[in-house]
Amino acid sequence: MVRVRRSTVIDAPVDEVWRFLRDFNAHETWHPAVAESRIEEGRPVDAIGAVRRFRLREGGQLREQLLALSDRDRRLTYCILDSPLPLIDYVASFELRPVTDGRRTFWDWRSEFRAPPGQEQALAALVGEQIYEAGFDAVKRHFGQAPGVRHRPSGGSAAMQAQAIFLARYGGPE
Amino acid sequence: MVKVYTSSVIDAPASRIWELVRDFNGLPSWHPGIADSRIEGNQPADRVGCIRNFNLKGGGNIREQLLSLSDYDYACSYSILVSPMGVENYIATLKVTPITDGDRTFAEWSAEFDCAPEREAELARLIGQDVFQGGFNALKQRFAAAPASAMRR
Repeated sequence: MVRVRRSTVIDAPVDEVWRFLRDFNAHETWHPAVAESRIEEGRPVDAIGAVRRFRLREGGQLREQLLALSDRDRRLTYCILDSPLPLIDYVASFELRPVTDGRRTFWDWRSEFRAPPGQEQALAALVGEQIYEAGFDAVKRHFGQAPGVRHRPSGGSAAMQAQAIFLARYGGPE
Repeated sequence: MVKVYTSSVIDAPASRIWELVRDFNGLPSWHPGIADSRIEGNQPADRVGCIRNFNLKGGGNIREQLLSLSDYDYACSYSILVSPMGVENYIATLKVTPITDGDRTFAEWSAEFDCAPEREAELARLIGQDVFQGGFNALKQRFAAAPASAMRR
């Protein structure tokens, strides 16, 4: 089982961030990888079991199903039904928590899946960076915040910092 | 039942914060409100069920029992056995979680307890602000802009 986990802090109150993120179909408006999305069979976006069918900007169609949604815990859980990538038995959830000393939000995004032998690391990096971290940066921009400085185990933090400054100043590569 | 929840972001890796706060007998080394502490009966401080007996700098003796300790979740919980605060059924949890964006720590400290109705607001403030936020502020200060070498104990 491959496990991916990324987390960040958004400079906005938790209720605002949750209002923004709990909409299972809204990723087409904020996630840079998503071109367009719709909920199948006209179901409400917060109906458990609802399926979102969406296209990626780079091509490829996915279907994902809402497994659990909690306004109390500010947590959303979903799985992949169909994907061009071999993310097998992929279940992901994200959860928001208030940072009480300052009006900020802790955002934890994680998943578990199986992958064909030899592809685990590449797929884990793709999910962590192109889905979760790219999503973090987009939501930060939405709330008027500079993108993050990443921690990578081997990372040269000076280079990362310089990259973050560049992105903050010039608005990113998209 | 009164519920208190305090959370913060500390500019240090979660493993370092956990190393410091997992020591159930270690409060005097990082929390500004604690004068001294010992574990009763010479038990190891990471033995679930052990009791810490400590004195507040402002005066007052407290006995707390370790209910759970998880090096996997970076979390511990404990109950108050005896205190001068006037709380009953007090159970608190301290948990630290890595923030991968910047290698920082999300720290949460929460408690549930019963008390006389007229003291709820006062105790919630005392515990949430003075005890929990006071502890987080001390950790933030300790790790503020510290170069990597200074972050080693």
